[in-house]
Amino acid sequence: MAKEKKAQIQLDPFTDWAHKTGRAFMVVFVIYMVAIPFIMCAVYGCMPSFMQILPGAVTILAVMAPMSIAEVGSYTPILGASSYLTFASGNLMNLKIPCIIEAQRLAKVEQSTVEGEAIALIATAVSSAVTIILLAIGMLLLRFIAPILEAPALKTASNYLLPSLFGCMSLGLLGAGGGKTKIKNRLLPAAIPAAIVAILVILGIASSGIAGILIIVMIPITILCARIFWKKGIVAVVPNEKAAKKEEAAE
Amino acid sequence: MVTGSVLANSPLLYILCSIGLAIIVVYAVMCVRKAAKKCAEVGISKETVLTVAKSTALASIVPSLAILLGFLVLTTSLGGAWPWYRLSVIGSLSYESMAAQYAADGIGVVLSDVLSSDATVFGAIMVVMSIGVCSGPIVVTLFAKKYSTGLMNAKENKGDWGQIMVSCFMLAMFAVYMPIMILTDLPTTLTLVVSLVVSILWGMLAKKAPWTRDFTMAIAMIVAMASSLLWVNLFG
Repeated sequence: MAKEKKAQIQLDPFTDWAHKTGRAFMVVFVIYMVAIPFIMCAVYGCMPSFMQILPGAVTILAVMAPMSIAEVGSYTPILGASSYLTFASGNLMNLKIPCIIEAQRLAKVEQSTVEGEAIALIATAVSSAVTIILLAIGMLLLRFIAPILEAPALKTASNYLLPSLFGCMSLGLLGAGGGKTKIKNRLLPAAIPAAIVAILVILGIASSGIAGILIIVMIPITILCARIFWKKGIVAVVPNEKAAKKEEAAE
Repeated sequence: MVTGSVLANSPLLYILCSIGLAIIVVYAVMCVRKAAKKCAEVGISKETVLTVAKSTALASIVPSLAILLGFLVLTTSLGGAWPWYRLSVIGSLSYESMAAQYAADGIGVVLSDVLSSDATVFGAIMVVMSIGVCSGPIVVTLFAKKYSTGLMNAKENKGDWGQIMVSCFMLAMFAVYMPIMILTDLPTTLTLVVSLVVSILWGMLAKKAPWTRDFTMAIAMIVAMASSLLWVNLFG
């Protein structure tokens, strides 16, 4: 029993490294980020008073804290050990998560596996680097690119970034994946949560602004539905014949 | 009087922001090296890793341009350096605008006047924006390891049910976003459909010409976003 418990908590060295360095990185990152305004104000002798900071800080924390908890709860299972870099580099739903899902689909690896986490980490790092480089170029060339970026067509199209990303991501959801097994009727457990959200949207209660909170509520409902369908044999893990045939052909 | 503009355009702020970005880049490089080594260990070929990197880089360009658009919006009220740093890393346009607005409201200043106001106002806004966004990184630092390794263990040790349970997290995400997008308006729905159809068609093409596989997401995104202009004109 003790041995079994020990086996459960023994982490792959890579995963262990990713979490250890991720946590250390996060501490350095947060301290440095918060320090920047204080360094600036100290150097220029313009430190704001406590009362100048308090009202805004309380309001934004009241909004952000529940959202952050919901986001971590919702997205960490997809991000795994890449959570640290992803949350530090931001732009989760409009960039990082779609990139990770597509990368895992291309590499034919599954989430919550060591392979899946390694690929997620590469995708997050590359994606973060691209954003940092493009924004740096953008800042340097601001005068020249501003008229292009402000073109009405580009502004309109950028409002539709999220559906454009979700369309591609759906491909990963519809496919059987490249693993040796696949889940029969995989999408079925999502039917009831999707119906609930649809009703909430029609009633004007749900919107993308509260998606993080909605996801954290829908996760247990989805798991419960999956459990019921699994017990009844409707949802099941079955051999992935397509992947097996491909493997045979390759051999 | 030192104004917000002096702080916002200060070379020191540019230097501090550059160091902040360098911290991220150094960690990202460490991650890529370690992850690539792990991929080699578990039998993921170098070609696959390169495909993933290329595809991700290409797919990140269009969303990054949208972020650049957000940067442009923020520069009018917060100058160049601070929005550059925040949008390059932790922030998003919606959060940064909201945080800056709340901070300005709390002080009783109009956001568009921040650069011409006393520098303490700009300082207070930077502090509020930084503190406000900390909750996410703190929660991740405290709980991500336990949460994600717990799921890995469940997948490993609970057999079929573990595999099914782990898949539920992504399903829940789709179960929330899909109805929101499909029921928002017709242009959003059609844009989503175009993206999916292009992804499928491009996937079929990639079977015949594997080198095109890297472009799937980037192409689907560009075509879908371009199609949104048509849908907005027709149904918007």
